[in-house]
Amino acid sequence: MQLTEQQVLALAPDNGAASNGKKLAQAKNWPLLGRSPRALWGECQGSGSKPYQVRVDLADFASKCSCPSFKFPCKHALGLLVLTANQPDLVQENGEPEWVGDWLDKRVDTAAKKEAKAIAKADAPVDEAAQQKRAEKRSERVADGLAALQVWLEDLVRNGLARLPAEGPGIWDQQAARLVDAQAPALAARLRALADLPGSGADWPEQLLAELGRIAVAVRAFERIDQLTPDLQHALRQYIGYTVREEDVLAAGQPVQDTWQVIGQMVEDNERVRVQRTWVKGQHTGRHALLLQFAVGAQPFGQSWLPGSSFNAELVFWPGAAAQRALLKGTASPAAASSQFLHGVDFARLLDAASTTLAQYPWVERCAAVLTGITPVLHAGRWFAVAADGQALPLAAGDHWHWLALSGGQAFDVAVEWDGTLLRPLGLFIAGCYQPLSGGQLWTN
Amino acid sequence: MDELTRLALVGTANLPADAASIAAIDALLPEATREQRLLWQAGAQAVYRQAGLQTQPIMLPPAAPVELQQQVPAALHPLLGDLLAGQLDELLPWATAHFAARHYHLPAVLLPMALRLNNKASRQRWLPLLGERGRWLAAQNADWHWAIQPQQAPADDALLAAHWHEGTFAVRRRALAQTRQRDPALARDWLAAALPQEKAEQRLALAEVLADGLCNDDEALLSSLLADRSQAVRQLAAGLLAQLPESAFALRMSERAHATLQWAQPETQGAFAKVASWLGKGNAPQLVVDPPLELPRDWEKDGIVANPSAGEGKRAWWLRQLLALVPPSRWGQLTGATPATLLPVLQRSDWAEALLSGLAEASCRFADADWAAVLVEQSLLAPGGSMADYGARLWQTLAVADQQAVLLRLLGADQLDIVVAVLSRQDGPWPAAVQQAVETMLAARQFADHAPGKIEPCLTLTALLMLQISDARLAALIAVLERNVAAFADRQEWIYRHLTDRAARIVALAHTRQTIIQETAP
Repeated sequence: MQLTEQQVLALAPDNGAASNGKKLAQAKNWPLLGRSPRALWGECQGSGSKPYQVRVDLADFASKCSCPSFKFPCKHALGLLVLTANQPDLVQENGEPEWVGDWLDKRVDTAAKKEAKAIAKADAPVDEAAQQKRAEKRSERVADGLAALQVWLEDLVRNGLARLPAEGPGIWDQQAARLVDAQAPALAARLRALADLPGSGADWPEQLLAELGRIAVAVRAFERIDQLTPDLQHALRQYIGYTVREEDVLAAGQPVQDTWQVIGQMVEDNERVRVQRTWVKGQHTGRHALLLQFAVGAQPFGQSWLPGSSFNAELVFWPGAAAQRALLKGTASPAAASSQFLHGVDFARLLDAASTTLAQYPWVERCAAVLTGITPVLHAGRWFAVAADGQALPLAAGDHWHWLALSGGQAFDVAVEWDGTLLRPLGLFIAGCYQPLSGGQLWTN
Repeated sequence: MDELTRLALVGTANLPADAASIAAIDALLPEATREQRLLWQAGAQAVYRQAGLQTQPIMLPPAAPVELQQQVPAALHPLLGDLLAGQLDELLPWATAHFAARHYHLPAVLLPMALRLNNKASRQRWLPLLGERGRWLAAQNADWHWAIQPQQAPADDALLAAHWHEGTFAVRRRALAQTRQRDPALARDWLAAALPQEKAEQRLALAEVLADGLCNDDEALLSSLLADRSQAVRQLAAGLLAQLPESAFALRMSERAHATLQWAQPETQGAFAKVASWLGKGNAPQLVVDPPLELPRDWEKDGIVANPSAGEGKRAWWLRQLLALVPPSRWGQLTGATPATLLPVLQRSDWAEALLSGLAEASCRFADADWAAVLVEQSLLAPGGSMADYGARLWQTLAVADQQAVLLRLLGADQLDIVVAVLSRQDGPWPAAVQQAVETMLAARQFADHAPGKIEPCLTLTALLMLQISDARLAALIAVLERNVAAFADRQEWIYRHLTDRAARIVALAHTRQTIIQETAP
């Protein structure tokens, strides 16, 4: 497998860990190094007498180290990965020591137990009457909350959006807080995200009205949810903020077995919570799945998916129309990493697929795709992704110089997120090496 | 802006008419309030538009040209990142020059980082390593145009005139500087016309352009500037006029200097003179210094500033300014003696400090290498005060052979702090003899026998020498350093721990340098 330093450093929890990891990435710090098809390990000489034992699972790049650091992955794990990326010859195939094998076995064990527990929990007898009562109570609250939201939205357009830039973000927060009280947290988050929009750009009225309109249509749809298909009901409930517990997903969902390639990763920093979106693509099914992880503050994410790597696993999708979000069932095993993307599409097919998805579920937020033969072009101050035939879609604002430098104006297949109006690049393969483009979490500078 | 947006912006309360969206959507709208209908129209139209979104045609610009040179070996890429991030600054000048000499270029992934450098010195260092890809990239970003060879501005008088008359101050100054080279008379006319309208700071910046291509035709303009309201402009004009040997100003200054410094030829007859010549003091002339008691009006008009800064006497201050405006070679012509002979005479004078610093200033202004050679050690060794400011400037004035001789003398006198100060400013390779001498000195020295303050310059010298010597001799140098550091390894004081850390960094840098040399070996 061909790792790159940039790819590996994207795993770092912060700048300090990244630079310390880079410093440790020298052969002299590692009296013992080894790898097997499923893992990578090494002993790193620290300041103590006993070297730290570092091990990395090559399936999902989870790591464990005997050091006391609370960072995850710690600098030793990062050092081992950077060393492997820069000098792969130093890390030879070897028999797994006991401390590596034990840990890997334990991980498989834990995952199995978790699954069993989930199934047991899902199957556990429940007090149906009480559950029914709770559900009714929530429905009532949500219905009341949405009715109030409807009135509030009508007030907005009755008095005119033009006064909003002068109002400040307070009204959005207030209404969002009411929706949280009404147990519609996802809708609340959408509203809160609109707070900065008024007055922000030339076309803010169009953007704001479109988003308010979509919310109003969702409110209307929820009033008549009984008339919708079960898939759309699921999706709409999630749009409002009903969550489906992971246990229920694992227990009820239909698993999809495939070799999944991690095509890109994006971390968004909200005020209190960091959200990591990892897009994987089935190499046989061609299906995209979204692995979401949340972390509070500086806490590490539970799983580390390394962009550009591949793994064999069963994924279970959340229920609902146009389902993207998925969950790992059991454990993943490392797959031979490919040095390119498969199943790339052109713009026409991306737009077709996006429209089809919209027809199934009009509130779809974004989808992922691999586009073939794309070059970034700065045209009249705006960035575009341009295909070989000169057709283009706009890129989200951001620093695309890195991409332009890497590509040198040549066309490359690139993994992207498409939100219906703008493309966000996730990463691309150059000379067989994955180069992340999603920025933000690159600690290379 | 479409009808829906307009209605929503103004508010349904303020606009009686409903807005229409797409007919197919409007036809499906259920009965509801006007506001509801507007929101649903907007929501449905947003989905409709998104589903029907089309690509747009954009011109594909040409791709980057193929690289003609080779890329820095992959094993060094992490190191390049550290160099760019400023973590190995000690190695930067050497490493960039080393890569440039071997015609390497940076890997694409590091180009944006290199192009974002905003320090002029580091930009110059990385410029040769950008390669075709780097220049191609820089051409597309206005902030990065520094990396493209500046297009020689077409010789266009009309354009320059337009810049001069209409541009911002920086543009005007550039236009003036270019015109100064193409048509000095025109530039002078522009300057003469513009100066009365400018503020002092701008007058100074514009008048400085005259230093380039200074000639006798500038005398009239410069003389008029002696009456400028700003002291800085008056001093600039005086300095430039002094450099025109035939100007009336230069003649006036010479006369004043001759009147103030009276040299008497030594007696060549008589017993006293004979004894003196046996003692080696024979041919030195005598000197009487007599600055005026009050500053004459005509001196002040010629740019001599009346009031000294605190700590200096008025007469000494005037004397110093006067000497700074007279070519130092004049004293040799006048007395027939060499600077080396005149120096002790000057030093013996009651006015020694003013005389020497005035001469130092003049040596820099008139680029007099002979005087610089005798003054530079004085200046470098001065612990502070007026002479100490001239060390670096006098050093630049020196001939290369003199630089080497001075360095060797300083090294012999164990003036390591000064050797460090001089050598760390030195760009490019050291003279072989200096390199040899520093190496020998370090090898023979027991660092631990000296006070910590004396060890520090030894470490700095090792760090500097490490960049100079050949790879083969590096191991010996590191061994010397490690042996010396081991001698105080068990000292617990902070200063020794600090020195040990510094030594460790120097060793690490030396190893890094070795890695670079090995990886780039043909």
